[in-house]
Amino acid sequence: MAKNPILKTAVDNIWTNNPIFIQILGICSTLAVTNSMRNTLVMTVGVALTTAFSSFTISLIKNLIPKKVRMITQVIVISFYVIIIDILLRAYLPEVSKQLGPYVGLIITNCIIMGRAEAFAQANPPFISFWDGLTSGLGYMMVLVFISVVRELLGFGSLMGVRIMPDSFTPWTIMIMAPSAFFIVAMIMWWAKSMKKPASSGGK
Amino acid sequence: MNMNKDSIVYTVIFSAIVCLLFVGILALVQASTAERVAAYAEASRKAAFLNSLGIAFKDLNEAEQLFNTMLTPIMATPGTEKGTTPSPEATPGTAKSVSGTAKGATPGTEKSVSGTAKGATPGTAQTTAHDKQSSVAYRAVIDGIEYFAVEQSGPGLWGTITIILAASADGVIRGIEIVSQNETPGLGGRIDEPVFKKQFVGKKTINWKITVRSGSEASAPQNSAANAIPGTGTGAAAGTTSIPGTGTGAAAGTTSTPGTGTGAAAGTTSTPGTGTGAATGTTSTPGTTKSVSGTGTGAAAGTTSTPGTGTVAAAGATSALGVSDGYIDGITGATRTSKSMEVIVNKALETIRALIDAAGGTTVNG
Repeated sequence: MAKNPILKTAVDNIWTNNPIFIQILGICSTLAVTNSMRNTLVMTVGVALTTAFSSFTISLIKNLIPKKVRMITQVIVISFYVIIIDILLRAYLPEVSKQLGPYVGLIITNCIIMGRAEAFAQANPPFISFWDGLTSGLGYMMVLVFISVVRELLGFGSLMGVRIMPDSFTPWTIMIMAPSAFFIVAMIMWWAKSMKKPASSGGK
Repeated sequence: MNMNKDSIVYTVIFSAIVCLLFVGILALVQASTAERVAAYAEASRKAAFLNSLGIAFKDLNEAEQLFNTMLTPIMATPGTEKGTTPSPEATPGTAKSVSGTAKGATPGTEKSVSGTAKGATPGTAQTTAHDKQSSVAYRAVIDGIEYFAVEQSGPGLWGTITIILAASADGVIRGIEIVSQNETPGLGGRIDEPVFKKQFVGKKTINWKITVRSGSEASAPQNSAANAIPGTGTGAAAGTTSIPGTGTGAAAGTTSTPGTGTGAAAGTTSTPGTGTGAATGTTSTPGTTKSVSGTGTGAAAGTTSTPGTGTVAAAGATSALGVSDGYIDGITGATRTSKSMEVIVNKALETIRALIDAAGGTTVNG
């Protein structure tokens, strides 16, 4: 296992303790956005940035936050960054903002952001908290992009809106509905657990 | 000062400071970018009008120029400073006036094309710069053909959908643009994708209506001579003694009972229809919302009109419809949004038809 805390944090968040297939967080958005690869990329980049900056800020003020209002303060900080991103996009990158549509607002509801704020940023220095948030977002992105490739390809016959499958291909309607994401997430979990099992068994 | 972090006083002060700080920063950022956002929104709206009319442009600056030179406002937003189209130059008594204009009629109350004088022709000579900004309908002549583009809003699954639809006087859709929508991302939200919007380009409407097929309807039978027979469905028209159809846009002859659907119109002796926009002859009371056709003397199926040939009358058995005319394929998995689009598009088409009628033009069965 990596000794370097930077590397260890990255490996933990992307593989060992992945937010999707280990922590089972952020499942709502996983079901909602992964029938389009473009939307998935946009959403996951937003989540990664918001997690990173909100973890950084919460870590910075953690010693000032009273326990009674700890979580509501975290929510304010997370909402602040999400709204800031939304305002700046609308003003300076309006085309991107239009493409994102409701996804920016949905970032607030992502459990991963709150999870990292509560589990990591409350107990660690600001910069490693920033890194933790960013890599958690990358772990989330990795899984969601994989799911979106499968769903968009089979559901619409396209990737990033570009037609890939031949005209004779009949789209699988189930793939654009939320239940298909459940099936694929379950299969990814199965695969990830299977991959981890020999390693952990071997250690015993 | 050493204050206990868990005390009520500290908690209140901390919470107040955190709220003020973060909300204050947000307010500052919002205020400093508001003008920029509003300018982009207006520019995008103009670009959307051009897109719906199929007018190409390189950037928003060019779009602004084209918008100002090629588009003429013909209808203003009700309730705005110059909320109604000026009427002094209108010629009273012309046929096919817009709703709310019949003698004794009560004007429509919601988004109707009311407010014009009896038989008014839109007074474009009265147009001001303000009108140009607040108008929700525009006219443009492209390659010698006159097109009308209107902005129309309606309820979607999760919020309001606003579109801009352009069509010609013969009921052929020029194009559609989605100005705003809050539908489910990846499902209903796909109404904004080119693959959906392209279906509208050049689409021939049936009696100024389109049908968005969704779910099992997607495999339903398409147009045939049979379903274009008078009195049987959408846009049905009736002869002198016939009973009109009950579908949308039904028109009736002199002695007939009017239809009950949207835009139903009746002859002189008929009973008023009960549906939206239903109207009768000179003493009639039009519907309360979006009344369009059949609005009184000279209109649709009024006293001087030829029975059964009202504005919205369909050609019946003689109509030649293509197999896909009037049909749009909905978004798979988004039946509610698809049906909402059908309603909004049809309202826009209804408005365009009314505008053309008001201008003294002749609408043709699509």
